[in-house]
Amino acid sequence: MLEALSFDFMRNALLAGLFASVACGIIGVLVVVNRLVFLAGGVAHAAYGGVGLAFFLGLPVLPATLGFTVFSALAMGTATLRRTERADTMIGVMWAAGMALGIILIDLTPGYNTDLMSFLFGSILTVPGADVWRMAVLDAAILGLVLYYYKQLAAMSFDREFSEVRGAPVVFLHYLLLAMTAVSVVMLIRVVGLILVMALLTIPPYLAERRVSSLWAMMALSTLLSILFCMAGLCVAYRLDLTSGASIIAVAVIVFAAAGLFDALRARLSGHQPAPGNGDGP
Amino acid sequence: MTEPVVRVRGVSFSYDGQNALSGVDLDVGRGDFLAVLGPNGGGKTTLLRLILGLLRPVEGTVRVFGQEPDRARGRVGYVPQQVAGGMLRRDFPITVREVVLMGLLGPGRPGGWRGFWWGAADRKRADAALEKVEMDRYAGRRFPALSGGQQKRVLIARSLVADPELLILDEPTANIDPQGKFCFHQVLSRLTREVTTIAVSHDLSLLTAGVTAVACVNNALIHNPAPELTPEMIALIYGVHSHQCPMDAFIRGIPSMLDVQRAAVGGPHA
Repeated sequence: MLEALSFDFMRNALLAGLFASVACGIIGVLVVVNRLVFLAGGVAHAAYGGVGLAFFLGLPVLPATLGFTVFSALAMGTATLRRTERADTMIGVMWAAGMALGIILIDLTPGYNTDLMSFLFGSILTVPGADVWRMAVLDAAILGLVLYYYKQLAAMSFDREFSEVRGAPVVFLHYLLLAMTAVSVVMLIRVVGLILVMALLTIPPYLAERRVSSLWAMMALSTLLSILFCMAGLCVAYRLDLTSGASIIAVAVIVFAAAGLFDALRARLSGHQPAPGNGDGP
Repeated sequence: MTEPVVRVRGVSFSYDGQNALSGVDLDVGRGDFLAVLGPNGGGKTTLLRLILGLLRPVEGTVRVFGQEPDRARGRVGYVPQQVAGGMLRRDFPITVREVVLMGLLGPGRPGGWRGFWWGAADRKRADAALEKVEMDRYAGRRFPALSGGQQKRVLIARSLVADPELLILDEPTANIDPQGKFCFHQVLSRLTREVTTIAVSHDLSLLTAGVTAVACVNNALIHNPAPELTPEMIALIYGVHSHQCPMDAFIRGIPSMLDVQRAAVGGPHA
């Protein structure tokens, strides 16, 4: 395995996995605890509309996709701001519309330009060095923003109504989170593909949630788990000559299932379920 | 004559044409512990939201510390019925102390909004607030792992940590079993001697928690500067709006509450 590290592409793949994990670990936690997983999925799929638009209009791909995706995220965010029942439907509509728009625009664009497969699965093994460093910059920006707004983000995630009554800029934070999600998703899809981005945004946070007692610890553990999954997945893919993205997901899912089984067994063996809430004195 | 902490004059409010409150007048003085009682759907939550500034009256005025309610928010501590509107994730990673520290965020703390770390002075304040509700031993515990009554006390500490001049409690003993309620009422009784409090409840047992005044709300409001239900209040409950379900726990509880009142000569407040 170590001889693989002598290859540039392998080193870049590992670095890409590392930087993707940091972004997904931090943003994924906020997405999961704020119950925005479906919205994140919508944003990720709608991003393809941005890709199509870029090719159709002859614009540079990355900025156009970023612009389109951030716009879609903010639009979906308006639907979810007051948690209306129709929010899920709106997201579903935009999810499908974005993808369809992208596919049709690319159909209409003459010549070879891009294919859906690399959007879905990325190409972690063909990541150019420049993209890796762009991801590092993205990570630094996310880290900076989340550290700066941490107390408010944590308060909003825990108890939005209270934060609002206390004057927290809940609306601003809601949109900020969605914008950060959109930017992360676009950057990461280029490298690891849509499917892996959704997996890394959700599985490590779900694993981390009940094993820590503060939000920043959940982010740290999530990031760590994500890095481990990427490393292990890349190893497996290298050894067994499998698709790397799918191998990373497979590792993550196996660990997720194992952890679930472990928790269930432990609850069964200790003979009780966690006690339901009841009033009591000091 | 000191100005009342809360002054409500001639207030009416309707939801989509459904009239919730009409012609409501209320004064809450400094040091009062006012219980706002009434059946579900009678308008007491609406009154609460008007005082908090979350709603604006259709008619009349609401003044808190002489100002519009949303300007007075920095001086008001609000304890909601449930955290996160009942939507709290079962595994949300947060400690009791962190929940209380959250109460320091708000108007008048511009620097404190930013950043990641809470200083030692803030942590001390949080621990002091936890002591007031007898939850200091639980400071490092995970909040979702607590029982309903324990969580409610932590939420009160969260409001206390910012030294509010008015404390507003929404259904403080909902989700607490009768045993827990007794302890809770004792904690409440002690706390409310230090801060003006308004508690909205459909549970009449709140009257045993050191209440100094009662307001009964059922579309209209009747105020009594003593912790007792008057005959006019009883009439208000039974007389207005026949759509009030007679099986409402509040209404069922009135006869036994009147017995308690007759028995408790001199009142429960000390």
